[in-house]
Amino acid sequence: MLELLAEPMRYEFMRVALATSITVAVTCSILSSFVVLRGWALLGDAISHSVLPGIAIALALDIPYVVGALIAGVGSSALIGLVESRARIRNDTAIGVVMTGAFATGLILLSWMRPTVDVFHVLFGNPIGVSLNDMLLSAGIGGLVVIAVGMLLKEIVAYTFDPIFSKVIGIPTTLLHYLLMVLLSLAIVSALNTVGIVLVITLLVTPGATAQIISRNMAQMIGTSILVGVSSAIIGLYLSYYLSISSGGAIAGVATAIFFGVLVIKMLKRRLGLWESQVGHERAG
Amino acid sequence: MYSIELESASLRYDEVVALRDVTFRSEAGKMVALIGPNGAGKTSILKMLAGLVRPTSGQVRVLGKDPSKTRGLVAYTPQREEVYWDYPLTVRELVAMGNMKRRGLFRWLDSHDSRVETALKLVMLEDLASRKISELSGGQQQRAFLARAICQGGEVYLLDEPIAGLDAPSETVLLEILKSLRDQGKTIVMATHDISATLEIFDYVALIRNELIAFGPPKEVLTSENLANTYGGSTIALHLDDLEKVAGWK
Repeated sequence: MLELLAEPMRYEFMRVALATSITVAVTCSILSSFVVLRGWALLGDAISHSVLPGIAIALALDIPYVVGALIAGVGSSALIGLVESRARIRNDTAIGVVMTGAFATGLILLSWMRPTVDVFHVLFGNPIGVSLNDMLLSAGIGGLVVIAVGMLLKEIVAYTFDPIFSKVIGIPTTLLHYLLMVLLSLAIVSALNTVGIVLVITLLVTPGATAQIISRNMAQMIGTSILVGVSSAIIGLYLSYYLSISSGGAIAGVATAIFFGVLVIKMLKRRLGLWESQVGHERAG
Repeated sequence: MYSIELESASLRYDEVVALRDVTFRSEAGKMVALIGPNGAGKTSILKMLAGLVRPTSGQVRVLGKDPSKTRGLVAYTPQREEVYWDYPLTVRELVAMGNMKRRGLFRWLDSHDSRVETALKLVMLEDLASRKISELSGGQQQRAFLARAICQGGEVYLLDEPIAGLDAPSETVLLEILKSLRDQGKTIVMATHDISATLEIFDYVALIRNELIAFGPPKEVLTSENLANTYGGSTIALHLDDLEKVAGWK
């Protein structure tokens, strides 16, 4: 068993891939709790897809792709808010329009410019190709997310639970909202290499969703979410190594499997609990 | 000095007129009920008083100031459906949110705090303080909301439909707590559909249907004519029946 675990670690690209995947999983899992509780799953998906044209434009202008991705991510969340209020349409409709529009723009730009980056890798990730620089970038973004959420946890909890109340007691809610959008966009950028922009939503939704099934308070929820995310990253990466399958797909797949596993256990326990209490009643009667 | 004042306040959202030329005021230590059908503008009045929206024209003043300058003095409780009750918070953590501004950064909500405990006691939730908020009944959730407002320690309480969907005992408990707050000199402004609940308890009733139909003590304002103007002719019979039953009035 130890042999099996140690074997891939002989290669530097696997060590870098593992370190990066774990960092990204921590970053995304922390935010995942709030994405799930605030009902931002679809918004997160939209931001991740909107990052594509940002990357394309950044490549064209020869500026760091993080900058382009960040502007596009935050810009898309602002655009969704604007479309929603101006066109008087529902939030999910606005998201659908902006998300697909931005993604299409990204595809058009990339196919037209024919850059050296592999579109397939941007879309679905390629952790084995992660450079040392990418790893440091992910670590930096992860650190930023941990510090920001740690410092503002109380405010973020209040805002994501009850935005109106938060505004009335004087929390700068608009600022906080956009800070969260910036953090989400950064998390998506950091996940580009590991799971890619199509599957990053798995890391932004599934760990939090799994944690919510079993958590009683916020500390438990964030902790469980990180545990689920990190386990998915590790197991997924090993599976991809031994089975020669897509790493992004494997990581996202493991996260999904954990979610359904936890859900089934919870349902079974409830059944069992119900059954036990019935037996108890009969005995008592 | 009046504790709340609306002076020809109007509010438009794009082409839609939510409120037209509304004027009323109340002193401190009073309970004011905002009554009217859905979409009549009750929530809009509360939001103007909370400083969440500005009147398109006219003036709104709370404690003699512009509502944007009364942060901390005004407690706002949205409708119960506005928040996600499956959020993993305990009752104590929810109530402690009211105390957030007094506590600095870096400090988590759930440390025992005398303000929080006092508020929990006042709404009779001290035994359920460690429960998850999703495990509370509707009435208990509403009381937890109220405890958060009490913990905040405001002078003006703005409550959006706090008794909607509550059973009679829960409603009585909630209204008793509000009465005791009034007796301490707090101003309570509450949006509601329930006319019968307001008759004996409230000092003022504002009948609203995108404009002010009438304002004053309940027994003067709740006339069949005013109610017909507020709710439209067809539903009026039912409401008058209610009134007679509950208050033995008219």
